[in-house]
Amino acid sequence: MQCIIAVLATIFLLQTRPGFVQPVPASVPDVRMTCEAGRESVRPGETFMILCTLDIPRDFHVYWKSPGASGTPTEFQVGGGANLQVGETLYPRPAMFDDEAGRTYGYEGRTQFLVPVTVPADCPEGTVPITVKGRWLACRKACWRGEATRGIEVVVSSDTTSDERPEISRAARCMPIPLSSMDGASISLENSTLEIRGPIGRRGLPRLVPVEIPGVIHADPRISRDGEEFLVRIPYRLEPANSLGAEPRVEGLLLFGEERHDPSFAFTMLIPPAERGAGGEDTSNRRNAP
Amino acid sequence: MNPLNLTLQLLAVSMLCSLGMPAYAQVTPLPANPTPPAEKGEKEEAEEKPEVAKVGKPAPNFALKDIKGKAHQLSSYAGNYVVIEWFNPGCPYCRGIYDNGVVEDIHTKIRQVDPDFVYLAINSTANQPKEFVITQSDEFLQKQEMPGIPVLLDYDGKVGRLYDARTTPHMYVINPEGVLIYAGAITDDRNFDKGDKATNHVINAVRSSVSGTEVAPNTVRPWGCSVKYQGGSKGGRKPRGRAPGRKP
Repeated sequence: MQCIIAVLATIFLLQTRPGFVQPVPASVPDVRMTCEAGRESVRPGETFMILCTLDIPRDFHVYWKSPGASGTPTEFQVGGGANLQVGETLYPRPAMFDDEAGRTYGYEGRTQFLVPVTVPADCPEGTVPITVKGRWLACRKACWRGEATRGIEVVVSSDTTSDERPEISRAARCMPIPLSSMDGASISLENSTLEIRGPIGRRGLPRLVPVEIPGVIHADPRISRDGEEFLVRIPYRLEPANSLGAEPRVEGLLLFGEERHDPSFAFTMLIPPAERGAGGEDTSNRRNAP
Repeated sequence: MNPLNLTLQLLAVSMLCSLGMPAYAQVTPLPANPTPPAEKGEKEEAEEKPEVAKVGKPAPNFALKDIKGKAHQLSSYAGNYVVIEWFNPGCPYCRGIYDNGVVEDIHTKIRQVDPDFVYLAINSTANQPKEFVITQSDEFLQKQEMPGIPVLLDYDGKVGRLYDARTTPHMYVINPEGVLIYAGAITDDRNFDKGDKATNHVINAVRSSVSGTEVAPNTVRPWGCSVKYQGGSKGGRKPRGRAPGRKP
């Protein structure tokens, strides 16, 4: 018994000596990507979803489209024949991760993304091959870049169209919905501050996940209760020289609750030219439906 | 119970309690600004809240030793352009900028306008033993045939925090007058697939500065792995509360 205790004590002393740091595991995380068309067959001119699933190993995370202080966005590139029109990837509600380098936004575990694809109206009938290339950065204590390419097929037929797979609607339930769909919500811009109001539900005050837009610098947001409403105020300033050609706008998500199926609302508001001058001279209040 | 037994058992219990807790390396950094004893109290107070690097302002001075043991003080490079890369050869993006010739391109093109420009790689990685960080950095640059790039060790992360370095790579350009003229991404090509069409923000910043035109952009969101500071990532902790932002 004494021997065992002595061995354990020795290990302990070695582990806690100054300068000892647990080495980072060298193994590459096995992030698995699968893709499937949301329908087996579509008519020319119709839009369908491609479902891309990442199975992320325990304790690792990949990043949202606007990853925060560090990281790179998870991306899906869809290619193939038939001049398919590929829409913007729909990202599910992200989680927040904090470390010494700042706050980032992303995903753990099984995560599903949707990519809308429209078949041209003049698309000839037949089987259309599609390739999906996914790229991600998976991090735990260290980071690994990953990518995978998957091939899928969809049948284009003017006669029949198949039902959407139930997995698509399940994935869609994790996607943020427009703030305009929240009853009683309003969004306005005044004195270089974006203000969002809405009813406080049973889930309490929202949390804000900002989308970083080049040339638009957010200050700390203020989230408070104003009677029966929540009030989110996001001060910003513009740096036109750093816009990289992007239209100046304030964009982000409001998250309610903690779980990935809890509601999240997306907002975006272009900063009108009158507000883009130094100091935002035009202080006219624009209260819009979001 | 005899005293030996008691001591061993206490050690075992404390060991079990400490499982999972991070153990930090001790380092002895070169003082950033050696301070005369008479001013020490005042200086210590000032050092508690160092001014973080800001584009358009004088770059905060620092002093660090490189992995060969040579001391480097930023202020000693006044009169030349200084490019600083936050460096971690364990990060795939950091390796990528070497593997894809981005760093070499910076050296070639900036030497054309300032033959004596200085390129510093600062490694604030502390999720590995210090000896490993040194060896890994050295071996990486040897393999890249760029052993001349000094890798400055910032194991306690003080200089990284002073510059608000978030990613590897995260680039900073300082002009000959000591003013920080650019901070952010190295290029607009994080997937390394744009080839000659990629925009190198570091080269552009130096060229603009040399020609006397406005450096634009002077701040671009950096991409890459997070800097692995001491006490860093604890995995997927999901905090509540406000999301942070930058003060306008």
